Amino acid sequence: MRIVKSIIFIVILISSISFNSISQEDIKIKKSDFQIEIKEVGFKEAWKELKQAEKLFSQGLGTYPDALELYLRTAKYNSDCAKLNYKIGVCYLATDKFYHATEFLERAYLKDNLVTDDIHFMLARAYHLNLDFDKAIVNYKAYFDAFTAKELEKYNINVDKYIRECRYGKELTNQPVRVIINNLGQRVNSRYDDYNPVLHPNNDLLYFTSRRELDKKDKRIEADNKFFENVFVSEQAGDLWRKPNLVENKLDSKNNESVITISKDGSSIYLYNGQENGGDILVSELKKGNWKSPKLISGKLLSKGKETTIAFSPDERELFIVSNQYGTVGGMDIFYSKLNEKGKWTEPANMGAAINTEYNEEGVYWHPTEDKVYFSSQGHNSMGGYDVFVMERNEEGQWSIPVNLGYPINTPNDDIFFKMDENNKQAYYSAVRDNGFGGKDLYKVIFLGEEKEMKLSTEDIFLAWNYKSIDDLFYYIPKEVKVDTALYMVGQVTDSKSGEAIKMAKIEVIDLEMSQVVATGLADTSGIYKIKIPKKKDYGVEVTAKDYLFFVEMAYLSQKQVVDSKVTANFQLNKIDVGATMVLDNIFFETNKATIKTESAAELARLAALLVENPTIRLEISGHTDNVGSYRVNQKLSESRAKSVVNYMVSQGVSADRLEYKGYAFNQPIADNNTADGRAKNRRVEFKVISK
Amino acid sequence: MKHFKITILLLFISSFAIAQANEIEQEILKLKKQAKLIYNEGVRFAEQGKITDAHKKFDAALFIYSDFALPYLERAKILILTNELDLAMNDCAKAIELNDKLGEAFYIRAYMKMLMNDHQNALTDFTHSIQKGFTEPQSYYYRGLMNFELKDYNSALIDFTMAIDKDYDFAYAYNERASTKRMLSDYHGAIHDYKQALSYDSTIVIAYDNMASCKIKTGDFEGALEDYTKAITRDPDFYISLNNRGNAYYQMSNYELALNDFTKVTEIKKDYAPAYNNLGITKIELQNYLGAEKDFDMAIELDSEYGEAYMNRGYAREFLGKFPAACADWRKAQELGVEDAEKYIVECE
Repeated sequence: MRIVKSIIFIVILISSISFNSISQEDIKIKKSDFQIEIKEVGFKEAWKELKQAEKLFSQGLGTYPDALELYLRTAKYNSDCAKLNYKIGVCYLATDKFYHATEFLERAYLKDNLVTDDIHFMLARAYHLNLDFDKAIVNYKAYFDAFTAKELEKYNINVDKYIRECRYGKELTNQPVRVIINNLGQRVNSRYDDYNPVLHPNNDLLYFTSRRELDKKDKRIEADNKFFENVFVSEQAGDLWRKPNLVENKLDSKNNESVITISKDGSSIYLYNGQENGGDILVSELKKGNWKSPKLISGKLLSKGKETTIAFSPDERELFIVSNQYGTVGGMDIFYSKLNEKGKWTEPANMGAAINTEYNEEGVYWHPTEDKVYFSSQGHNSMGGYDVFVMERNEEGQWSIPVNLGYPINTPNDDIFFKMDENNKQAYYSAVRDNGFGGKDLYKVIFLGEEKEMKLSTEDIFLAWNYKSIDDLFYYIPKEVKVDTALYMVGQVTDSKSGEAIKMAKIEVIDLEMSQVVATGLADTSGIYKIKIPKKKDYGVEVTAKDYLFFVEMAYLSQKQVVDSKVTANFQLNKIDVGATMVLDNIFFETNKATIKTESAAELARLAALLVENPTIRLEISGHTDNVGSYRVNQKLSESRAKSVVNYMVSQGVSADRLEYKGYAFNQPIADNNTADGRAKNRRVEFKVISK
Repeated sequence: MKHFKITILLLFISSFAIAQANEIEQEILKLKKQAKLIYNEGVRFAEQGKITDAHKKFDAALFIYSDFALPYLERAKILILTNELDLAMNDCAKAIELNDKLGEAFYIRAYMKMLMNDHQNALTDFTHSIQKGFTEPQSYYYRGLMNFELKDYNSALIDFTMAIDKDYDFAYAYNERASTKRMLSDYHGAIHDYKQALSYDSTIVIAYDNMASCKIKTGDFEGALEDYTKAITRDPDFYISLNNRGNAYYQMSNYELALNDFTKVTEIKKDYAPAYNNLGITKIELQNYLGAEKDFDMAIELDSEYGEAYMNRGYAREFLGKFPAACADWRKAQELGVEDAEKYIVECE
């Protein structure tokens, strides 16, 4: 059963501090600002809404989000209205959608740079919250320049503080820390402030404080027009937290209450309770699974002032408590106490000006296992609002100067109630961030280690061959091999009478068309020869051998059968003996004359060679004719031709006494004169060996 | 008298043997000539591209005269075309056994070794082929490939240059030389050669991809995107270029376009683990850590030895606050030889 809150007890754990130190102006928007006919469709309704918005705006920060919705609807009828833009901007500043404020405030300023006296301050706040520190500084200065020194003092306006925050902000945002900050999600966070997360030691329950509206009967606190503080708890479900439940029964009270911490063994829960004396810390014990009625903690730790948060050392023999009791450096301060020999807490001692500042310190938290204490402060080098700091105790027991946890954990908004886990890997805290669901939200901070280079996979197929090999790029078309297709002329050279082999006979094959010797060969000791001839055709063949008359004849290879690339041609040579004769077939004369034709040169050269190689022989050169014509004419012609040959030989250096000549006309035919072929054969010159 | 008879008999036998030898020799020459004639017929078929007929002729030539090296070589080439590498290798070995001066036989054997990824021995045989006078452009080209595979980029450069000298429009050789220059960090020289390759053969899509990657090295991201896109346009299924273009977009912090490209790669090639890895990385940038973790899961499922994917999944899990799981991933990455893993494991401890 929920206890109905009493509006008498209004002290809350923490108030919104973003810009409440200087109140924003509540300028009135008039109908004339719209320059629109009242009768225009929809405007009447819009005007009503504007009136509602103005009312909500005047009530305070808690209803700014509601006012904002109405202002935005009205803005459709005059988006150029400087006053309206100002109010929308100011409302945005009070929400987690503060990043929209700049646009509206700039427009307000553009339309009317005197729209309000604090327009520069609001612009500065907008730039400040949105990390545009240089513009923020310019506008802070512009705003403060309007005040005299006395006024600044009188109104307690600390010019330097804001400007310092901007400068710290620049430094801190230039060196962001490697964290991931995850909103705990809409299931946990509400559109109202949700803060001060407290993780049960078993890590399965998350307690926190929320100022959400519980039901329609819920009332708002006068101080900030927000709902009461209540404690909620959420159970863990895998990586997520379940929808939280209000912690009722004994832990609920008529006052604001906020969860602060839980003892290491989970048996005690510490709560803030906003009582009349400014707020105190209570503790409830867990008995048989139920929290008992909370009781004030040890009187020594409490003052007449306000105590808000408490943090115990890992051995629970020391603690820090936040209080504004007498002796503070300024606002809420951190005090230290420890158990004495009697097991009683000592009088809390202020941690001094090195830790506490003239501004508020809040949300103290002792690391579960280490001598490290986290807290939030509006002082030190805060970049705005509360920033989270950490201090560490050295071996000598001295606490270090607090160190700002850095951006993005800290922002110019409030960052508070930071709770680090024992592995220093993750923490929970509350903050106003641009991915929130309204007001302060609960966030989980994941501390990333050293910056890591992600391993992007790139791949290149460097070689075209590997991409698309051409199958037959390797292939060379073969070339034909040379095959020995030449013919061989083979045969034997023998003596014409004895039939004996003539060794070393020289055979020359003559291409008559080319008048060229195309092949030569020698007969072996068996008289056998083998000559490679270019092709199968008719050739002239000349065979010469020592002591033998030369032999010249046509070899009609074209008509012969080729067996195994061979054609056979045997030659019989006549020995040089007295009486041996030989027809000189290749001596040619002009018709009916004794003039030797030039084509006879080869035969005549052979004859000359015979005479040179056989220097003792004497020859009779004889001329012969066919039987055509008279004997006298033929005798004269045959003799003249024989004489021409002799003369030629003599001209070639052969001694004339080795040669005789004679004309036989047609008396010694060697063929039939009745045929042309026979007659051709009978027309000849021959020689006979007449002595050796 | 008796000795005389024996001598006569021996002489007779000897002369008979000589006659017999001569006869055999004649017979061999006759067979060889016949084999050559048939081989030449095979060559004529090969010229006409009738490799089946050519194969038969080479078979016939070898049936007639089995010590004839050339038909073995030519049959080996045909067997490569029909992908019968073992038989081809046997034929090639036989050709070399019969004629170790046959440079082309070394070239063909080297080619087969190359196909079998025996790069070192292929290199040796290509060198033999060149030494034995088979100095065709391809000899240098393939030797260049082997030198490239064996990371001897300076030698590869010389070989590809020789191939180009012998065949000025050898597009493949230009691409390979370009890639070699790229390995030697001569990116501008490489770009020039890739362009040459494409000017001679615009179908070498890989040249666009390679040129793009070189342009990235020179900081010309826009040019690179253009070339990757040309590669993809010419071959829409060329997932390598899609993946690389995704990388380029990623480096230009254009994560949405990178995501598109990587996603397309996974559609084209579902089993390509690097694309899932890259998808995961991109999703990390887009702060979708759960999505990233799933992509890395997929990459690891496809390739359980993918060290980088373990590393990256560790990052995703770190972002998700899953520190023990992240550490386990980094440890696995270390096991798989990822160099950076060790320093992150220190954080775990």
